[in-house]
Amino acid sequence: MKQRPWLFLLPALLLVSISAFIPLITVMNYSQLTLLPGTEPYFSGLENFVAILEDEAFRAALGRQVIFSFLVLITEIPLGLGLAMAMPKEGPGVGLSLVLLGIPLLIPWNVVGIIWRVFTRSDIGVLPAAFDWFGYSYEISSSTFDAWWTVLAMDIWHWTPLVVLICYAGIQAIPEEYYMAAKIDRASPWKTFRYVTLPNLRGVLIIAVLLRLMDSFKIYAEPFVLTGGGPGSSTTFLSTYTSRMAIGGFQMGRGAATSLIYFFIVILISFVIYIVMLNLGQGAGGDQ
Amino acid sequence: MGIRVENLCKSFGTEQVLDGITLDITDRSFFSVVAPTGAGKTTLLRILAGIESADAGTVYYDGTEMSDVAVQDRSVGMVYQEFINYPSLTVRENLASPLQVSDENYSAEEIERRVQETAEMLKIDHILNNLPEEVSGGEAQRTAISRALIKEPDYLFMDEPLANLDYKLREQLRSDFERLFSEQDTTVIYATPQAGDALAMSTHIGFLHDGTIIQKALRDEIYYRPRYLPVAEYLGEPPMNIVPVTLVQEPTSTDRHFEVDDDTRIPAPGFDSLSPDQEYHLGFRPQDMQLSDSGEASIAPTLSFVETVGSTSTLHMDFQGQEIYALHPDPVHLETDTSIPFVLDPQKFYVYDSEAGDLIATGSNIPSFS
Amino acid sequence: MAEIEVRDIRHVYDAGTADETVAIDDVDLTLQDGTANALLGPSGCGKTTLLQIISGLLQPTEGQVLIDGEDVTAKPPAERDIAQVFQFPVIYDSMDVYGNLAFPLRNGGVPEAEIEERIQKIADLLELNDILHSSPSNLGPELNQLVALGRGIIRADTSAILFDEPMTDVEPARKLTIRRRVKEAQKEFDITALYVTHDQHEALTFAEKVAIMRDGRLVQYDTGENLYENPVNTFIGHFIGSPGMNLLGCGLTKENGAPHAQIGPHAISVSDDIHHAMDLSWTDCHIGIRPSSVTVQVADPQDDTHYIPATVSQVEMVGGYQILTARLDDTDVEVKARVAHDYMIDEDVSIWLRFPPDTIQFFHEEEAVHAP
Repeated sequence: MKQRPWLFLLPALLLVSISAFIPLITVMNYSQLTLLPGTEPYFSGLENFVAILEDEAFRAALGRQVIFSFLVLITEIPLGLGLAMAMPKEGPGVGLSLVLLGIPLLIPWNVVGIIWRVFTRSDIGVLPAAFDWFGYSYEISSSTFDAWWTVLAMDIWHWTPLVVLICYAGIQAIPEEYYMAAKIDRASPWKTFRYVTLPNLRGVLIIAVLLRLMDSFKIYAEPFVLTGGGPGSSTTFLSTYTSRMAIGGFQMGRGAATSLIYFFIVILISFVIYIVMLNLGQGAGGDQ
Repeated sequence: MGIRVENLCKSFGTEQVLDGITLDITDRSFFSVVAPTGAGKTTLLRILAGIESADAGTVYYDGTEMSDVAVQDRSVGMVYQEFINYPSLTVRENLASPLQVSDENYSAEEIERRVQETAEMLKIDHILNNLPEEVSGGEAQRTAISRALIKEPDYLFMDEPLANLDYKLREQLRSDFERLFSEQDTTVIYATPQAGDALAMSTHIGFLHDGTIIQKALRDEIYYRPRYLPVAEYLGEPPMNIVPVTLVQEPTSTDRHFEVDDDTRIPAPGFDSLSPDQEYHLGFRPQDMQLSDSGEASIAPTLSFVETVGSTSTLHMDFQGQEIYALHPDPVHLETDTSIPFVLDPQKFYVYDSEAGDLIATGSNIPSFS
Repeated sequence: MAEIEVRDIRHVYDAGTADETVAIDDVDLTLQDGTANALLGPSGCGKTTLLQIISGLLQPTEGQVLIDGEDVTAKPPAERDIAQVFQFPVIYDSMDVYGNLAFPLRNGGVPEAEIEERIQKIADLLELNDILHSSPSNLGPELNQLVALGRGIIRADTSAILFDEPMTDVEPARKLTIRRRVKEAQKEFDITALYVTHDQHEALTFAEKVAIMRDGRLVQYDTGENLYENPVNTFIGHFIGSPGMNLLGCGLTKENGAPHAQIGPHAISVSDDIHHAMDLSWTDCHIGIRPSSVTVQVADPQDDTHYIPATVSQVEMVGGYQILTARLDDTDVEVKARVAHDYMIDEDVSIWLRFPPDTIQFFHEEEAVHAP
């Protein structure tokens, strides 16, 4: 029998081509067509792309998207890391905290949206009632500020546990000797964190940041259910914009072009962050 | 039933690891591949076993070309540096596992008999009912070896199996292996960076250098007559000392000497085949350096430090920026940073060509093999 | 630079649970100021536990740790001024080599000018000058272990340095160089050192005195020479030396009114001291002799009764010499003997062995027997 290791790669290759490659090609094809219901599609080159890039609504959605993802990252990553470090390292507490953390992750996206929707409703919701008690008038359907921080809080509640789990696994893998050496070297808790925990978690943190970045960039179901993109278009993110364009507005070609632009932005930002984090703090000079 | 290898090549990326290896491994021999870490021993072993494929070249088992035979269909066993056993099975079940999964349908009695036999041979019969985590490192590695041996493979490949063991166990297993395999029909192919392991156990040794086996011979032959400098500089504990010299003919007599510098002249009787005024590399073993009682010396290197273990002292010395070792059979107490006079016996000299690095002459007391 | 003393140390892991294990029991040990010491023993003998008790990373169940006479048992590691080098190189890899060496000093608030001076001294000693501004991640385990060592000894107030099997990750060919630099650093700074290892070669070449542990107890703390020449029991005899001491079970017979050692049909002469100490009622007796002390002869010694006939069963090349294993004729006792590396001899050859009486140790119930 000849040895054919490439045979083992075949299923994976097939799967990737069906799930990613073929749809991508289709979208690329669509993006250069003008596709309106009831008319014959015709080739319109880069017209769709130009139109989208000039569209104010697109730019606004992109801007909101970038701000949203940025806020997600700067809260969820430190919060997740902090929680992971505070978690018990052994004993019965480990299992309990893992289960508690796991619960939000098990709930489907749209269900999360519905839970928060009920939670924040002005008639029966607990949240407006609670705020009312403090004298603050909470209005998710009319206040942009309230809508924004609620969407953010929902995302933090839903996804920080993932960051905690990733960081916790990373922390558990740091050899105890590093902490012993830091003790002997009289390092303060902050320096121990800065020079032992953080560098050893670099790889793990890159994964957490990239996962959260890509996921938050693609956020769709939760805000769609919670706020429907409003008030106005104040919580309309890129995915909501894209689906409205393609399905709501029946402009398949333009929708496809939006998807492609969207796709390249995600790749670009992820790549930049990956490169920056990879080189961060690597063998920096004798700094204090 | 030996193994023959023809013109084996393998590269990883741009790095040519094996560069045309041609080799005959004698049936039932204990053949060690010796080389420093990273020289390609493991790759060679894997290709021979059929776990990895070569870029070019052919492997024959007992005259049959094996390129198209999968490793499952070969009669081979493999032992790694890590002690690989099934953690949830007892030692007995670990031993039995290769027989149970085999296509050959061994009967329960046959399996039990073989387990017992192999366990006794490797002295693990007292731990058969323990789990691998309950036994010592040495016992775990003996279990792994037993598992490889239980199917009575024609060829057993071992990749540094003693590297992770305490020295006392290593000592014990070295001794056991030598005995065990001299009575077995199995051909053993053993990879190690430790010259000592190879010299203690092997019947044959091959030295891997720059992607080829530069010398392959009987254990004694490669030890007493290392044909090339890299072999001489590696095979020994400590390795052979090599000093660059010039052969000088005395103007007034027929005597000749090896001149290292103006102060160091080493008598060279009996090296008539060498031409005077030529540069050579002179080799002598650390065991053959005698401390001089009279003060008269062939060579007087500066003592850096002494390592005494038990009754043996290893003297680490500096000779014109070069490391020189001497081995002394009793503990010595000498002042460091002083020059220590030694007498050398020209009958135990090795002379290497200074350019090609091959052995061109030896003293009369060096055994010859033909 | 300090004297370190451990008194009546006992350490129990998981006390009071089903997993309770006594790791160390009844250990007393004093390491003189400025000496190089090693702690040697088989895996699991408790040596790493003892090391961590000394450095303060572990609190002993019972007993005291004293540094220069002061009881530090309750003090945390940072206050003991003890450095430790671990099994694998522990390096802060977000800093360069210089930053690593400076780390303990900066934590102690040492001025930068003094830091630079200290680092220069250490770098010269350990030959780290060329790599001071390299990132440790590119250096490989050997150099990193030297950096870790440098970090350990850089503090002027370091009283002792502990090594926990520091050569584990070092390639065999590089071990010698590294060991040598470690040794030079210890001498240069006159620092009290304790080196934990399971390798006798490392222990004996590093230390002036070696403490040997077995099953949580200290068996013998002595110079390499004494451990080799005068082992207190058969365990040390076997454990020290490569190969270890020949331990030959023997009986005692009465001859001319005095007891004699006997292996099968062969009578063995021992030194007068041992001879006088023997007691005919003893049963569990061993003769101990180093392979290097056994004299091997191929020619028949004729009537010389000091020689015992034997048959070669194995010839091995070990540590630059050949080790013969020979079975004493008419017994199943095997003896190892050391001969020169170029001594030509084959298996199954008949030889004669002599055990010089003054090189023989005698063990009764595993313990060494001395003059009465």
